[in-house]
Amino acid sequence: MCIMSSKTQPVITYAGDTQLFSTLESATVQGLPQETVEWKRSYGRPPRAVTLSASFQPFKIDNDGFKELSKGLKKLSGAEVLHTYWVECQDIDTYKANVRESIQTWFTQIKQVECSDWLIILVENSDSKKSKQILPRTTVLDKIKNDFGGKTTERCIAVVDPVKGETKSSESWQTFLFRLRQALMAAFSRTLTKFEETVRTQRERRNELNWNFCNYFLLQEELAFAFEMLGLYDEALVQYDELDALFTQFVLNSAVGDAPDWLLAFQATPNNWSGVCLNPKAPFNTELRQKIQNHTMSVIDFRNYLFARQSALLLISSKPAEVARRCLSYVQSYMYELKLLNVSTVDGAIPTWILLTCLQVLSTCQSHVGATGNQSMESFALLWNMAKDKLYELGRKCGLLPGASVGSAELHCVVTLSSGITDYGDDSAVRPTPVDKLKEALSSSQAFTKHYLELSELAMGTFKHCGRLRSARLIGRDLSRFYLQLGQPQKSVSFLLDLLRGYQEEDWPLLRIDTHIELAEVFQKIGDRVRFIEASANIAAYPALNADTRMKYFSHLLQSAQDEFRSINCSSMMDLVDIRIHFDTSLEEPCSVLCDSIVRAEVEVVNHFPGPVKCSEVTITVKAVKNANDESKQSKAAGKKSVADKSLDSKAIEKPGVLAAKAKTSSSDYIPIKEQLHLKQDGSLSSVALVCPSAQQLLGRKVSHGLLPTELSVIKEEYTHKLSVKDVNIVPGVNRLTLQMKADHAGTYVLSQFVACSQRLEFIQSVNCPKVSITVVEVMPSVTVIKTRDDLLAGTDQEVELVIRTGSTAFQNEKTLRLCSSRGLMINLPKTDSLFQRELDLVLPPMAAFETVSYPLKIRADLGFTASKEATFVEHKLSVHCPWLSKTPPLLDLPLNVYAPFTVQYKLHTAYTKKFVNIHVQGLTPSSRAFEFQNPNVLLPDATYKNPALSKLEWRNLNGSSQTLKISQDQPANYLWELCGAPAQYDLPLLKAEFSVDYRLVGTSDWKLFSFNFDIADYATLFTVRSRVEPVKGNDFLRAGSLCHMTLTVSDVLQQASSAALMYEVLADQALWAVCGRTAGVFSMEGSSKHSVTLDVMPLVCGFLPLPAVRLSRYIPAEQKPKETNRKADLAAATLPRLEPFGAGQVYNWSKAQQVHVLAAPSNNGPTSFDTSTS
Amino acid sequence: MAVCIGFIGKENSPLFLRCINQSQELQFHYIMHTCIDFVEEKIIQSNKSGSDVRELYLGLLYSSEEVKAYGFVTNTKIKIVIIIDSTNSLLRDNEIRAIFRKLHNAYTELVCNPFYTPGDPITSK
Repeated sequence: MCIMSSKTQPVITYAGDTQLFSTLESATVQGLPQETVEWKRSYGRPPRAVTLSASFQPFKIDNDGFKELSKGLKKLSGAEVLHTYWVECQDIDTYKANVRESIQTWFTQIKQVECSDWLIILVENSDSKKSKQILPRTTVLDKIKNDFGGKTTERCIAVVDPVKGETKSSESWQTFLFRLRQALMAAFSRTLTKFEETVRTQRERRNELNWNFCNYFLLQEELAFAFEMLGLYDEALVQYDELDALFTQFVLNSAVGDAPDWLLAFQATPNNWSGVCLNPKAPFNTELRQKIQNHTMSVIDFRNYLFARQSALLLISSKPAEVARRCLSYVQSYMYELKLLNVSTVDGAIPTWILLTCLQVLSTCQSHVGATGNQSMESFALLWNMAKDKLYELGRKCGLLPGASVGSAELHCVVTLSSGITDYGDDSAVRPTPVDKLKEALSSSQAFTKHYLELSELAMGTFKHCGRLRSARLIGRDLSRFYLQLGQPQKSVSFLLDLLRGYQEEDWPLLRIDTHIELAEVFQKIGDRVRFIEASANIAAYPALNADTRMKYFSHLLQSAQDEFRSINCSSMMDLVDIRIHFDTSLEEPCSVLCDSIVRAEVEVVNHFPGPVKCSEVTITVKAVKNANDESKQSKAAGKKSVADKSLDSKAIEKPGVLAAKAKTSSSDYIPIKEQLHLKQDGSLSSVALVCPSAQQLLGRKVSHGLLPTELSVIKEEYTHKLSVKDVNIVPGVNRLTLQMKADHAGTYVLSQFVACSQRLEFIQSVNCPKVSITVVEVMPSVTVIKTRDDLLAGTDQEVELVIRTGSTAFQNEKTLRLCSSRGLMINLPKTDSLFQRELDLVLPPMAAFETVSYPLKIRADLGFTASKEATFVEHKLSVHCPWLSKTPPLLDLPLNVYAPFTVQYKLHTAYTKKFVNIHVQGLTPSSRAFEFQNPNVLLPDATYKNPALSKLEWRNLNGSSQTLKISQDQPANYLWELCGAPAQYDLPLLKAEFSVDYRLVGTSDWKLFSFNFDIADYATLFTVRSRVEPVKGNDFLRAGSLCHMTLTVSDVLQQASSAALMYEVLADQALWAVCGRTAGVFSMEGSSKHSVTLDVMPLVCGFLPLPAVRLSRYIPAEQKPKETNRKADLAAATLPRLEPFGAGQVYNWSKAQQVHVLAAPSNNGPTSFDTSTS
Repeated sequence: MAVCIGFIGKENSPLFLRCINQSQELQFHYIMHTCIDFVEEKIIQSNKSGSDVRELYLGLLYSSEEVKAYGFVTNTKIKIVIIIDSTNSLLRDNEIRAIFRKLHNAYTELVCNPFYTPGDPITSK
């Protein structure tokens, strides 16, 4: 370094008082580089702050130098850039006497030299100054400036001798140094510019015959030295890079036949291949530089020198990563250069050189890299990788690979190579140095293995560290080969499987197969038959491979298939291209088949194997998803909902479609779709749309995290059913197979895996995409009742039909259905001559699926309910005991609505004391189904006559003798009897009578008896009421608006009036009549059989007016206990007076429905009349 | 002239790979696959630098004694890799860019074809 720096430093000459200067020299040399100085540069380059140092030499006229300089600057190092003249002169007189003259001499001398920058330094003594007169007219400095300065007076400097060490003197010393730096910088810059000019000129002459690159190299390197000296390492590096590029260009040009003579020297056979020396302590290899100067170096030496210099500069500017990066391209371009230059080398020399270079660079950089970690890792990894590769190459050349035999040629190779490796004698280097390592590696096969594995490990680790997994895996491939050679195939398995996984994940088929081939070899060596089969299968099925290899592995596969049980994922071998299932389209559910039917699937399989595969069975396994019950319930619910939706009067009606119904059952397999009806305001259809309510979620961007996962191994899954076909030969190419399955249970099934069994191998493939599902639908047997005619009528035999449908399951054996009817309903099977009964058994013969049988069934419902007015029909039911139903008891209820054909009403009519019983029969059936009635009869039970009071009761028939009446909806019938012989007395017992009649449906032959029970009460008339309305006296007529009398006469019919008090109420229509005074009154019949009451009433309108109605009630005074009747009153009620109404037959109103004629108001005296008329 | 060109899909599976010398195909497959490492690295780097307009051309990905690989990545993460012979010094950066531009155009036209599903391996005669 010291040698170099003194060379490159610019030189300052000194003259004049040399003794004086020697005292100041050391201070100047040290002071100069202490501060930076700004360097303003030519050619628009940015100014830089640099530190300058210089060495001093006495000035002398050098004639040689003079000649050289005249040609141009040849050398930068040691060039004199600045001339100084040192003088100590106290007064002007001395100056004038001799100093001036000697300066003049020096001045003329430097004018002759090319470089004519100068400085005159006047050293002053501070105390000497004091002794002078206070204000000298002119100082010595002024004089000097005047004499020599010319326009550049700043070249003359005065400095106080710093040796004296005063404040003033140090200040003046600093000023001096600043001036000196400025001057030196300017001078150096000028020199440098000149030198650059020289270099440029030299470069322009590069195509001349006598031009030599080595000379030029040394010339431009001086520039680099100068920049390095200035601390401008990047500028220095640029110089080397320019040289590098220039040389490369020459080499490239030489390839096209343009090789200059000097280049031939570079083609010398190298005898040293120790790689680049990057000793940080000796960044300057003098030995190599000497070789360059002598023109005796090989290209390897030159490159080593150049790269070492570049690296040194990069390392100084702390860019170790850049060194590593450059190293790669350096090594590569270097190898290329060797090829172009036709340099003959010892076999293995170049790999050795590369290996050592890589290791050297790596060790140097890693010691430098420290904290700046990761970014350089990538280059490091590549370097490790390269070193690893080269070591392998060397190993192969030297017979060090495992299993290789070492012959004399290999030994010779080792010896030759070792001779070319020398350490650089750098004792401080970390042991073992790369050279040591290489020597050790070449010494024995074991050592080689150890080093190779170590390098591989480092390369792999570094790649992994910087995230280059693929590169790391690729090293695994080399390692696996190495282990295979080493006879440790089991170690290579994990590397290969790792590779395989990577290639499978990213789907690189060719690489995958290549890895499979290697794996097959390894597995064969290990004896892992099972995995060997799998690898063989993969290889055999890869179409891009050559036929021989495929057939070879295919035969391996077939052989192994006989004795090894193995499941292989066959997605790449037997490709399941298409599955078509024959669904039963007649069914409502999509993708469904009937229970117990055979499901057929047509499958298209592409066999990629080179030969046919005999399969004992090809199956597609099927898994059950849900059982049928859940689904049917849910879909029913969905169906109901749709109906409800439809009835809504909204603008948009949604109705879940088929798919929607499915969506609820099997969540993700279906896209829910709804049918949407858009209605106009008037309710007419505007548009129809299909809407997917969850479109947002379904159409949402999925995170694209990759392809479908391809699993390495598959496991045969559990399954419930399988579509299968036996004994198939699957030929290469497309195969169409028909697989079958019996659908024996209802439910939804999903295809899960494709399995082809060949001998003991199973080729398995998941059937995932798209998911195919089969719905097996079970139709249950059904029993229904069909009415033969419109409505079922009670009271007459009705025929219905019992329909039995077998559904999807056949009835293998006879089955017995037990039919039970509800109360009041009798059933009968006409075929079997049984009677009408409530229970009967029906034996069904064996039946095929979907067969329908029907049995006529007669039913007979009681007519008993017809008495009630409300019910026109009765819900009967027929319970069928079906053995196939799963619920307990297995009863199926079939509703049967039986309608009443007619209704019967009883009514008691009174005519004074006579009583008439009226039976009203109202038909309910249409006239087409009219009923005929005959032989009506009314009977009292015999027990009635035992009562002596009633013994004389008898019926007088008022009906036509034997007339047959036809009744229907339009035609009611009335029967009338007079009840004679009823005793006239109070408290007659209730009569329980029975009406009976023969009836039949028109068109039928059998008469049936219909009987109707009814109670007769109050069949004795107790009181009669007669009311009359008469005009007041003097008036002949009733007139509207005038008062008249209303007379009520109540007579006791029985003449045995009790002490009972009666109450009358006049209930007049207030629009017609106005009652004046009391409208009600209480009276007693005691003692008389008649009682009359007169009221004043006033007709309000004219015309025929009905008489006001009169109601008679029994009055029970407050204290009196109620009469002993069946009505019970509580004690609280007994304390109040109350009314008890008479029964309908107890009071006869004579005047009921009578009308009186009322004339208009008397304003006009027209004739009036009074008239009562009975309606 | 390039010795091999390759299109790699966004999931890193090869879409198309064609080389001049068929016997080297396997080797180029390995190189292409390793290049994905470098491409990913470069993409991460360019993402970090955060420039708005992303440079599609990635430059030199990989070089060995025999070959050099250059990379290009489209906005849809389709990687195009060109492998050239290391000794081929005639191809400059600009020419490589031009090749990439042409390849990118060719790929764009392919994607415009309605019969091509993006992501499928490209077949060509």
